[in-house]
Formats: sequence, structure tokens, C-alpha cells
Amino acid sequence: MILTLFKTELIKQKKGFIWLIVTIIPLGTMVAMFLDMYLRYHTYLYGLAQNNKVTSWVILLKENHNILGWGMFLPFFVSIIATIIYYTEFENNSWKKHLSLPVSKVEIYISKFFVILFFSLIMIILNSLGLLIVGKIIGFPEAFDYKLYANYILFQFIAILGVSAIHNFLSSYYESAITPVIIGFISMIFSKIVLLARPGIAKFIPYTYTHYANNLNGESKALVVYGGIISMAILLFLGILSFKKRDIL
Amino acid sequence: MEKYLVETNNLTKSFGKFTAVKDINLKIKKGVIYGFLGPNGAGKSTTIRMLLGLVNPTKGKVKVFGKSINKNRIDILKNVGSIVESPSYYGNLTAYENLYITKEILNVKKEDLKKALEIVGLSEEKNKKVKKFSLGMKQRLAIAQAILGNPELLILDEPTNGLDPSGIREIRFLIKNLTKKLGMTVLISSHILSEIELIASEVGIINKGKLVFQGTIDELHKNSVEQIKVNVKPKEQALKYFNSKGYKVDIRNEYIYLKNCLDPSSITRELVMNDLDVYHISRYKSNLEEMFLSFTKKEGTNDINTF
Ligand SMILES: Nc1ncnc2c1ncn2[C@@H]1O[C@H](COP(=O)(O)OP(=O)(O)OP(=O)(O)O)[C@@H](O)[C@H]1O
Ligand SMILES: [Mg+2]
Repeated sequence: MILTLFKTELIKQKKGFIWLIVTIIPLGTMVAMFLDMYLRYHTYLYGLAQNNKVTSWVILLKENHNILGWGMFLPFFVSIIATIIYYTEFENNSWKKHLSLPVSKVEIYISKFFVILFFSLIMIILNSLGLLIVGKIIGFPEAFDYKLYANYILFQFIAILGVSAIHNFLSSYYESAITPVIIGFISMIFSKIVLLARPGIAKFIPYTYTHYANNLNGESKALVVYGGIISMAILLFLGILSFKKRDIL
Repeated sequence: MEKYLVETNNLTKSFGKFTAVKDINLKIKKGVIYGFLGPNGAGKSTTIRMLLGLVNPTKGKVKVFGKSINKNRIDILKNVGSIVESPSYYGNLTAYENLYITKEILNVKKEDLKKALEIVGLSEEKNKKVKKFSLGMKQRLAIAQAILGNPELLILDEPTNGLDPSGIREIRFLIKNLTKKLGMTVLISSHILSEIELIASEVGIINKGKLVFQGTIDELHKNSVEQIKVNVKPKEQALKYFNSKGYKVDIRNEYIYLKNCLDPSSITRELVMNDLDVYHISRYKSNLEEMFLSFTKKEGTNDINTF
């Protein structure tokens, strides 16, 4: 049934605003990274790569993740996606119809969660695809590092699991589309501050996990995987409990 | 076999301190069209939401097909088609796509979808975006969606709200046909009695959250008390006299209606002997509309004693 619901969710988003969002954001990052590379690659970044004995692809990934701030903004983008998915029901006043059909509320809630993950994953993949295109246009001498970028995509995906669960709840809870997005924005800023000031505490804030998704060595890897999966499990469970009890008015 | 298809037991819903539905005991038999009547804000939609398991009752039970909605929600909803309040739809999708979503969830055949479109007369417009539909078309789409799974029970909350007279007639015709041809049981809510009268065989009247009447239309007719309608002058003096005799009166225009007095001849004699001029006297039975109003009127405004 969850699969059927997932399919119907995609029909609802057909030609919807969400497709614009998940393509335009990565398009923006691609343009920004192109400018960055165009201006700084030959004069500075290529030398940096040489000195650090890494490929240009590694440098490009770090520019995207840290300098452009993709790692910081990703949870905020997820919050926008979640809001659009739920707004479709609020806007059309269709919760009552949806829940008058013979489907369990839990399955509806979980299928929405999967749809949020699906669109977030598309956005993440398109971002990396954009980087590939930038590298090719600039003409990196090294061959494309498939493994690095596949891992990058995978770890970003795991890193957003907790945030997606939070925004699955918030977007289902607030009828106003703007509230969860504002919460997402404030949490993003707040997490960045905590991350800089109190890295110990930041480990418990799901919004920070995406920051680590670029640095694929032991400790960050473990934090992303455990943090992402555990926070998802807990928050999804709490969200389900609340959603099950809620009156549909 | 259960006696009732839908049965509630002291069904109650409070929002904070405000009680929207109070101790309602609905009893709906199989195969009937049940009219659920009440003025705006009476609690019809709230009750219907509880029947569908959308809203948890504060107190009381809902049984549909003899099963508790609490424990068997999904099982029950497989056989219930519904419209709750205004029709809901995904505006940027076509009528067909809207129905397709429901079809997928109900797991019925594409032919059923086509049939539903045909029944409500939307086959021609099925590829039009629903946000471009007129209200009547949206209502018909909502009905198509409700009947898609061939349900045993249809719950329609004000399906004719906002329609013009011909639209209302069309939908009434449609609903009557559904029960006749497909044997569905229908609960239809409305705040207009005359509309329900034409379609329903049983009615429940709800006012301020309470069920004030439940029974067949015939029983509702019987419930109308006979009154005596008089035109007597001088009016003031007549009222004084009726009051002294303990009659309950109701004044409308130049007429006085006497409620607990059923003998015109003795009343005439009494009036004449008291030097009052009788211009008109007749037996009077209130029509359904007036009864509905009297059922749903605020307490205290029914008996007017003006002195
Ligand atoms: N979520 C809510 N919070 C507070 N009060 C509510 C809520 N929903 C409904 N009510 C109140 O409950 C009462 C019954 O509302 P309901 O919608 O059931 O009436 P109705 O009979 O369907 O009216 P209408 O004919 O206007 O559709 C109203 O007074 C309404 O203000
Ligand atoms: Mg209503």
C-alpha cells in the first residue's frame, strides 16, 4: 500500500512547483560553482590541489560543500520540499478526503516521508551532476572520481534522514506553509552557530549532520550514519504517534 | 445481521469548553436515504467526521456495518463513499487524474472509473483541470469519487451546497438513482428541509449539537401538532383572556395560534360570551418547514406572550 500511496503522491506533484524547486536549486549551485572555478581554478585552486596532493574533483566538492555552503543549506532545502508536499493537501483541503479512504494514517505519513526523501535525493543528485558538468567544462585534467561523488551523494542522503523526519512532522502539523520553512531556516543558522561554538552538542542536532557529509573519513562517517539513522527512527516514530491521534478538521 | 447500518451511541464531541455534538444516537437502516438536517453550525459535519473516523469522539461510540470505527476503520471505509463539507480535489490535476488517485487507493478497475464519470456526466470534461470546473462540476466529481468503489454506504455532507435549482435537482436525481439501481444506503446532510423531504425516507434533525427528532418523514408529519388559528378583536383583550385560561399562544400577523386547545366550537362560544369579535377561526396544522423551524428555534422564542 505504501508503494501505491507513493505513486499517487507523485501524480499529485505532476507538473507541480516541486519539480521547479528541485531543479532550480541545483542549477543555481552549478552556475555559482562554474563562476567560482572560472575565476579561481587556474589561478589558485589547481595549485591548491597539487600542494595537498588531491584531485581537482576533491577541491570542487569542498568548494561546493563548504565555501558555497551546500552542506549548511541542504536541511533548509529539505524543509522547503517537505512543505510543498504537505501544502498540496492543505491547499486543496484534501486531508479529509484522503483520510476518508481505506488507508492507514501511518502509511500515509510514511509515504509522505518517502516522497520528501525522493525529491531531496533528486536534488542532491542534480547538485553533484552539476559539479560533474562544471569540472568537465573547466577541463579538469584528472578523470572524474565516480566513487567519491557516489559516496558524497549517499552520505548526504543519510545525513538528511533526521531532518526529513522533523520536517515531515512540522509540515503535517502546521497548516501555514511558511511556518515550517521559517523553523527550517532558523534551525539552519542556529545549528551552524552551535557547530562552531559547541561541536560536542552539535552531534545531537540533526540539522548539523549534513555539514559532515563532505569529510568522508572515519569519525564524520560514523556521525552521519548513526546520527542520521537514529534521529530518523526516533523522530519518525514520535511523528507517527502524533499524526495517528490528530483530528482531521 | 445488524439492525442498523450506522449506529451511534451517545456520540459527543467537545472543542475545549464548547460541545459541538451532544449525546447523539443515530440509527440508520440499510437501504434508506437518511436526511440529516440542521441549521448552520448544528454539528452535522462534526458528526459526519466522527462517523468516518476523521475526528475522535470525546465520548460515545460509532458503529458502521456493526463494527466499531475505532477498531475497524480501514475495513469499514472500504465500503463507504463520502463527501465531507466542500468538495476537495487537486486543482492542478484533471478530473480523470483526481479519480485515478482514488482508484489506485481503492484498488478498483479502470472501468469503474469510467462508469463513475458517466454516472455523474463528466466523461466529456474528464481531461480538464479541476480548478477550471464550475462548482456544480466539482460537486459531481466529488460524487463520482464517492461512488467509485461501489460502496454500500454513501455519506454526503451538503452535496448540493451552492448549486442553483437545476443543479440541485440533478444531484437529487442522481442520488435517488444510486439507491434504486445500486442499492446503496445514503446519509445526506442539509440545512434545507424541503430538499431533504423530496429525497429522504427517514430524517434526523440536529440542533445545537442535539438530535431533536429522528424518524420517518411520516412520523415527522404526525409530530406536527394541530393548532387553532383565530383572528379575534380586540387582540389585546383576547390575549389576556387566553393567558388567563392557560392557553399557549403564538402570534403571527393578525392571527393568534392556540396550541393546547383542540375544540373550535367551544373556543368560539367562550370568545363570544366574553364580548370578543371572532373574524376567523380554523384548525391549523403546521407544515414541515415550520416544524423544522420550531425544532431548531432558540428556546424561549416559541411562545410569545406580549402584554
Ligand atoms: N475545530 C473546531 N474548533 C472549534 N469549534 C469547532 C471546530 N469545528 C467545528 N466547530 C464548531 O462546532 C459547531 C458545529 O460545526 P459543524 O461544522 O459540525 O456544523 P454544521 O452543522 O456542519 O454546519 P454547516 O451547516 O454550517 O456546515 C459549530 O459551532 C462550529 O463553530
Ligand atoms: Mg457542515
